[in-house]
Amino acid sequence: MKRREFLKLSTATCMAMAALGTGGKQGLGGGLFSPTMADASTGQLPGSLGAKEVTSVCEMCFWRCPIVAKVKNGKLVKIEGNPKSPVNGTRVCARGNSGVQLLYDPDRVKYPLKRVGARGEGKWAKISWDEALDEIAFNMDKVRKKYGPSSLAYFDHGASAEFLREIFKALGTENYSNEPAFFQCVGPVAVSYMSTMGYIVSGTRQYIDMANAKAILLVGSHIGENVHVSHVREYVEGLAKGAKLVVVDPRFSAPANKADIYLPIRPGTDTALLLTWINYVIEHNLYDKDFVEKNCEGFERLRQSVKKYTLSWAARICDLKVDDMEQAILLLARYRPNLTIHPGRHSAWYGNGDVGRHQALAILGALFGTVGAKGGIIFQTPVVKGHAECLKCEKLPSEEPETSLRDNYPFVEPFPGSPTAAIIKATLTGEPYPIKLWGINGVNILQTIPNPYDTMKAIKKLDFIFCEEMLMGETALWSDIVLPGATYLERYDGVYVYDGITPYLTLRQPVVEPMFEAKPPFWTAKQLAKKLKLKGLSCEKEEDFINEELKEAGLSIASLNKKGGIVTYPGKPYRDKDSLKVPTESGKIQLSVSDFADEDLPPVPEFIPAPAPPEGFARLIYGRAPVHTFSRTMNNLWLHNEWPENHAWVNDEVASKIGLKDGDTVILENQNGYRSLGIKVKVTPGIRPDAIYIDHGFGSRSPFLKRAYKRGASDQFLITHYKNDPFMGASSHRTDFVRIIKDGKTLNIPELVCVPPEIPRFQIEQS
Amino acid sequence: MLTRNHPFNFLSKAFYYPSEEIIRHGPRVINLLNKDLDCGIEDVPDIPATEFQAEYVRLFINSAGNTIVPPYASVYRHGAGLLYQQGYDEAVAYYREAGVEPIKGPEPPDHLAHELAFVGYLLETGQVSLLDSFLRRHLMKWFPLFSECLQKANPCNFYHGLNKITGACLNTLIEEVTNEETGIS
Repeated sequence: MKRREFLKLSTATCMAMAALGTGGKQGLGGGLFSPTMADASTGQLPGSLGAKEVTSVCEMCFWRCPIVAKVKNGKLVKIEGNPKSPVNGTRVCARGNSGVQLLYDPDRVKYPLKRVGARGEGKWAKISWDEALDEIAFNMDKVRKKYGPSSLAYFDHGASAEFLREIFKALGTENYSNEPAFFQCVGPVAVSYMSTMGYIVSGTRQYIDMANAKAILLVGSHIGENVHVSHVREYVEGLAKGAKLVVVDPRFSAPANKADIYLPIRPGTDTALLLTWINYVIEHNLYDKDFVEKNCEGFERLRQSVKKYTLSWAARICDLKVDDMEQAILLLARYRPNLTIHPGRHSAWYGNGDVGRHQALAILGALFGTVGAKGGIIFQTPVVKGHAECLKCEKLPSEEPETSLRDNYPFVEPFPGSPTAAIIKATLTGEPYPIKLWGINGVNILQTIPNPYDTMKAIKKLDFIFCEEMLMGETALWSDIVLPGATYLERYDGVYVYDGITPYLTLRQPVVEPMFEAKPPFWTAKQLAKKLKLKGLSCEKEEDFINEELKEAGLSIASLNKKGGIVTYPGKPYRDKDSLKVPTESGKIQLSVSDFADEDLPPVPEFIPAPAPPEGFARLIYGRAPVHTFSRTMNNLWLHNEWPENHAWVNDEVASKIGLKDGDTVILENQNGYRSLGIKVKVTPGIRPDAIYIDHGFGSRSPFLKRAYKRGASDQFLITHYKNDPFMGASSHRTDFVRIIKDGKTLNIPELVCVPPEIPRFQIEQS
Repeated sequence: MLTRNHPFNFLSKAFYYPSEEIIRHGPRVINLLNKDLDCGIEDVPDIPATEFQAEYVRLFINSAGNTIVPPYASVYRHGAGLLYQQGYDEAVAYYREAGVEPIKGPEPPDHLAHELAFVGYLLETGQVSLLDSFLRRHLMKWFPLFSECLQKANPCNFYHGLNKITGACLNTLIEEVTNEETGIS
């Protein structure tokens, strides 16, 4: 073999490269390689054959299905359900399967980034973790000292956010856990059931027994579009066994398609229908008298209060037929007590009346004696799990604020944190106290909280904002420091217990090592605690606190893994009505809640009409795409391929009158003149003429998400008018209205359904 | 056969996040290489550190819109552009065949910097046949796609020059290796 120079480089070039330490022979492969290679024989088998199996828990949504990850040569190749799981077995949903795509998405946040352009411009430098955490700690300390502890606010959601929450708590802010889960979603339903039944029948989970129900009532619940695997399975099992289904919804949703009776109700009038049914059930003695006498309080007050709600009145208010409403309630009554009155989940709809609507559902369930009955509302079966002391962080001495952001909401007590709307207002106005620093984890605040325009204005007023993110969504775009968070497939979280109908204990654990410089949130919080000189978070590593939590259940990580990653327990979901004791103060179900009356709020639900659309507009309603979670999964390859954008459902008669065709691309404009990105129209008789529906979470405004960017329209960017629930401060999401712009021309929505005088018209100038 | 004075360790380092040394001296080396290889690119001026780093992030770490240029084989060797797929498997198989393994993290081993350093290693150790295969069956299957994307992203002069020079070096090398393999000299 000849020796020759393949590239003729000058001496100057060679010397310059050598000076950089990059001439030839600079260690093995420029110092990037070492001389050995581990044996990886399983790589020869096709697909997931021969893969190592690691059990864990999914986080593509927040339902937490137990999973098995199949890993080959350190690479995740497949995700399946954990066959030992009593709730999902080997099944995962489309999102569960697609976790692989989240892990290996090239748009992931890979390194700590520091903003070097204007906020929102998207110009970054990569910095070290040490520098990033120094900067965060410096700013937290500075803002706290200058403006007081409550000037720090933390928007958080999900398991990854919990450790950093301890830091905010320790620094003394009252704004440490402003979960969208409560203040944009389940807050009102949780208050209703806690006050009526004494426990959260519906929060993250719903304690109901659809699999054994003989009839099911869904009011605005889109099971099958909103996919939580075990919930859908229980619902489908119930239907397969012959359960009758009544669906109340302005849109012909997936469950409406399966309904025995479908009631296309006027949006904002659900409580009118429910109170009418309650009155009907009482007047016609369709309720379980024995159950009510033994287990309920406040019946007489209820009876008096609902007398005025008649079927003929409801027909006008709800735009439904008397006969249909009557048939529906008779059908439900026929199957009591083995009846699921679904409590609902996302309940921050109209602000006023949200608690009352779910209270009415709870009351209906109680009147039918469904509490503790097979097919009805079930009881939790506590599963033993320890608490690790080493996760706590000692709170610094801090003064409470003179005026709290929680003050206006008498039933916010069970929820940590402050209403998000109050935090944004305080950030904008400095009242009742200034808020100058936001931390964000696990939530895209611009695609979740109403009026993102106000949120962006508030961000501009902050001294500092940081986030931990997996993908470069809008939140990251607006942050000063972005921390790369480990996905659920790369980290431990706490021990999970399920206390529903088939109780179990399981654990989320890493299936592969974190990619790039992504770090588990526990590590991040621990380092930040050190930099802030906080005492606590003393566990060295995640395994320490997890083993501590498992000890009380007689388990360790190793022994749990030997058992297949999950341990099941016998459930005790049912109770006899003769020995029923709900966890309220009196042990009885509260048909009239005196605590509400004490705060000048209605003890028995009343119908509070949601204003009807202003002339030329339809109400904007929204729901879930079955293969997506909020705005988190739109950039996921497989899920994007399945459902790349949302469509605007427009009633066919309306479309015909304004010249719209199926597939036309339009812009939606709300009552305040805010416009969506382009969205295709779905012309259908399956929606009322006074409403337009879109799937939630689309229309990303972050150019860093290459698949999701500008695909479809964002519901949140059209929600600029909202009301706060007077009980706990949740922000309403169904109080906005849209019309259509096509080819630059504004198309007003014709009013095809008369609005009765009892329902006021929305006044645009007031918003 | 081949050289000890090859540029691949420099090219490898230059495709990593810009270190102080690269920020200070990288433009000069690009200019020298340009002169040696007659690539016809514009002179690369010195670039302030913040601009240099922001440009790297924009191009290679978290890129906006259609300008995405992830420097990983997997993205270009996989129909949908995911990490840790076929391109990754190929790279790792070649490393294994050469008896080496990539130093652990933070970048995946199919990062262009790793692959260019591997080219340098094969040159230094005279593994011509493996180099030929690595270039033809792997690196040159994706580098041209990467290079095209980088060009479309309208990079600053430094990355424009680095792109051109890397392409020139790889093209010259593949020609030389073919000659070596076929006995033509």
